[in-house]
Amino acid sequence: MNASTKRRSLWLLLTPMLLWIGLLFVLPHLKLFYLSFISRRGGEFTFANYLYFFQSPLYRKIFLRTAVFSILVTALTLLISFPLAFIITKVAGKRLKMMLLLAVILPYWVSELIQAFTWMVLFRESGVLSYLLQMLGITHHNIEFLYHDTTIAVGLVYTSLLFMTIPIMNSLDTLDDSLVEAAYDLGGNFWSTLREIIIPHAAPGIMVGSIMVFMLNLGNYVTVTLLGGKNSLWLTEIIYNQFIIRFNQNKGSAFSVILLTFSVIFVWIMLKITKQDLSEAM
Amino acid sequence: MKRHFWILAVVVLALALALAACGKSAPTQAPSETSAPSATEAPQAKTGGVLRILTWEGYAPEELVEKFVKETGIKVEITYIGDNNELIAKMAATKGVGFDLVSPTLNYVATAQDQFGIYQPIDLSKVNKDLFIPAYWDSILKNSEYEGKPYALPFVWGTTAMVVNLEKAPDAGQSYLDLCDPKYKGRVSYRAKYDTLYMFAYALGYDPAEAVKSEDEYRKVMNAVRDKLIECKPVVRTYWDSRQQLEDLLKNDEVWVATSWDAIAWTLMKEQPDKFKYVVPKEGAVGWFDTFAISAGAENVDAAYKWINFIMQPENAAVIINQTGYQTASQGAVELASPEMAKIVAETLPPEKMATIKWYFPLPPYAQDIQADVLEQVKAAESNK
Repeated sequence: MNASTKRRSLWLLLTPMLLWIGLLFVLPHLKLFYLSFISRRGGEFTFANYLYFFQSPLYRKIFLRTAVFSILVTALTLLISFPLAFIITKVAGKRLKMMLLLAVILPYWVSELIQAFTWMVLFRESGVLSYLLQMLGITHHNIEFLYHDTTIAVGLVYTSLLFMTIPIMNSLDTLDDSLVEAAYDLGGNFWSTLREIIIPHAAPGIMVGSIMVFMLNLGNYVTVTLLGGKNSLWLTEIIYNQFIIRFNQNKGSAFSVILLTFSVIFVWIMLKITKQDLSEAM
Repeated sequence: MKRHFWILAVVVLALALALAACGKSAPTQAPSETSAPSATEAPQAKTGGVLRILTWEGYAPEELVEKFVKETGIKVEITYIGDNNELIAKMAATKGVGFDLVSPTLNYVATAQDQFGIYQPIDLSKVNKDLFIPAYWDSILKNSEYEGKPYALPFVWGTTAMVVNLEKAPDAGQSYLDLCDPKYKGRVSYRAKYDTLYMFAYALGYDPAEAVKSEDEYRKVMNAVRDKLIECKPVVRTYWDSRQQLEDLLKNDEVWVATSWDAIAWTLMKEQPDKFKYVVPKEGAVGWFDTFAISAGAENVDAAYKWINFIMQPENAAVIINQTGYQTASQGAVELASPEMAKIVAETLPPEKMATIKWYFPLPPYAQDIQADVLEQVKAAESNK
């Protein structure tokens, strides 16, 4: 096969993906970007849509809440996923490995919506968890677990687990066990080995997982609205309101661009802080 | 050479497919572009074919669809919506192309027509007027008028008031302000939607239907309602969103006092008459009227009118009443519906309560924004437990 044929078949194979990205991602986002700088009534160029967002204390508050919450959930997911990924790749035997892996993947066989509804069945005041606690004699009255921020966090961590665990497993897989043994031989303890050997090796996986989980949570709508109850206002709901309730595509677009920009900046900062390269991390 | 040929073939095929996908929507879009801005002339109607309906769940029961197909040979495709704004957003995106018949709520018809031109005027010569209850016919035609032409026909109506758990909160339901009573702390639920705003506005002594005519006035009223709702937030367990959610909350005793559509409460009353009751407080129930409107991009206008004349036959409308609990504008349908339902309706919504119904009022664009502002502020407010 000569070089030109090779290049041509490469392009051919890329065509579906390029069409997909171009038509369904780049084009709509360009339109979104354009709309966000247009005034709704007059149709002229304006920054008003953005100013409106940043001048509203309410929207700033919701934005901050969404951002902080997403970061927190990402950290929590990492805390749970890392040991899990380590056990699956390094510690567990074949059988246990299979079972754990299945346990992580299984919930994704049903949609996020159904997951949220099952959480509601478990957590509601007259639900399974409340009933169990009473049966065990821990409490004597019904307890409501739903409609708290904690419930949202639990739900979000749960829906994110897979996206953190798999990339970390991927990078841990290539970690040579003898390196860990060598670390111990040279007088390292559990913590120093973890810090000096394991985490640096898994860093790309951690980074990829964190980016994915963070983005997923930032843009979540279903879990947050269903589990959150009366105090949950997520940025996505505000964007939905702009588009659907107020018929204001321009402000809606501006808000979407703000959300997008924030996540890009956040990812960039994270990569800088951890001294990772995007190409390396991916 | 051979390999090049295959590559070329695949590329051509892919391009052809892509073009076909784009081209498919082009011809259907063309007629709308000419008819939508004026929305006066109907695009060429076809006979037979397919009727595409955009409506609410329960408004086109399977049973009736099958009967209609058998009678007319017209196929029916139904898309469900859960919200008037969703309906308008869907229609506005294509100027109505893709749907023939829709069921917007009355107060949204004229304003949506003004903003987006998504409907076409009703051709009264194609509708059998005798099928409709005259009072509803007159009032809906008048209230859906835009530039002198009617845009909607009466279809289904209902009320929103309160449902109470008679065992836990027998005294509740005198006023909408009971939803704010610390006595029921954590046992109250209502929607974080416009209907709740109206209820509280009436309960606080305002007349939102009058205030809506001025932007400043409406903002003043809605801000007062907002302050009340924020003050009441600790009493609320959660804001309900769907019929199923409210039923679960009530049946599990998690909520004792709630706002409710009449049909939800009536269904619960049918199951447990000693436990639940639909109560209309002294401020009156809030009433809504869903209509028939013809899409500006309709491709099968004749079929749409056939469907209207079919579904409003009393024996057909009675099926809707029995299945959903909603009332219809069909003359004589109530008499054909189940007597059990008729009794519950007569008990909870007697003529003197009917007279106090506060009907939804038309919303100017600024009112939508004001309501959305207020609801966002209420949802974002911290409730100190």
